[in-house]
Amino acid sequence: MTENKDITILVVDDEPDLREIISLEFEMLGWKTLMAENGRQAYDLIKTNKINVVISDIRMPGGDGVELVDRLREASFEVPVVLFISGFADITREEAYAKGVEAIFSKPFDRKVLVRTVKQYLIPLQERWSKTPEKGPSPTEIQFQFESIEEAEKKDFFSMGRGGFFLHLDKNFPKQEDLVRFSFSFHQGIVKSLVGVGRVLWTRESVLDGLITGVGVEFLFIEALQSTGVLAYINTLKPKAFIPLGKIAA
Amino acid sequence: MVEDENGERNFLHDISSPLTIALGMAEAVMDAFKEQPAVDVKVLQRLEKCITALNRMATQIETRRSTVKSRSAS
Repeated sequence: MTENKDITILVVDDEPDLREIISLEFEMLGWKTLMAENGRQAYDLIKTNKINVVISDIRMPGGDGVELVDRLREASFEVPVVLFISGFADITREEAYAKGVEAIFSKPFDRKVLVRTVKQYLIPLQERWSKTPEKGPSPTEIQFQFESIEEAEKKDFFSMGRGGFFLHLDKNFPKQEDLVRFSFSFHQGIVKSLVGVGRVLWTRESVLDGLITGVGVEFLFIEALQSTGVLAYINTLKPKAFIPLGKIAA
Repeated sequence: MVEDENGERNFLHDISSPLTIALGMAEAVMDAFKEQPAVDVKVLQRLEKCITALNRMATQIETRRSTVKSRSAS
């Protein structure tokens, strides 16, 4: 991970006291903090400063958090890790992950967990996904074989984002926060195999807003990461979504 | 009915920020006190009670938020 003094975090909230309380945690780590009171101000700061992490409220006058991530998706410069903190959002968790947000916290949140999460997302993917997860309850097993990742995406079974995948399921849904052991094999294409452990971030058990049923899973560990083609897929195609939303039901 | 639900969503949103500030500031003061060599134990206990009370409010808001979410999903 980058040296502490080289890490810059941008806190975006229309409440100055809230910005102060979030910044305080990171200043204690020796990180540099910047502040913005809305999404538009934040965008200008991101454009002109090297920022590693953005922690943003969602509802704010003068440019909200959703508008900020939408603009960042279109940006040509390097986009920092974005986390949302919300009171009661007008956007679902699924939508936020699909827009590229890495984590979502509800107010009030545990400040220590926030710091731990931010640190986690600053670990380079190669290192983050190579650590064997701690032993816990037996994870749900998910196994599928596809012709190729491209074919699976075309048929709406599977799609991969920067941080995990969407998988179409129509029964036996794992629960949110469950750990899953996944095993996908692809006969051809850029990704050859995908075997590892993930955490269920959301489940959609019935067609909702026209979207097909399925689960959104965040990667925690990927076996033999170097040889799977996953990093090449992410680095080449640069998916915007952290976890894709899944397709519109036919 | 929809108006009631929007009102409740707005309420839950609007109450969350001040509660986060209150809890965060109280915890920050507690952290600072713990580094001081001589702080009256009673002061620390009162602050601890304040944090506990704020955490109870936070739990109630979280429960209410889940109820509103599951109601609107059904």
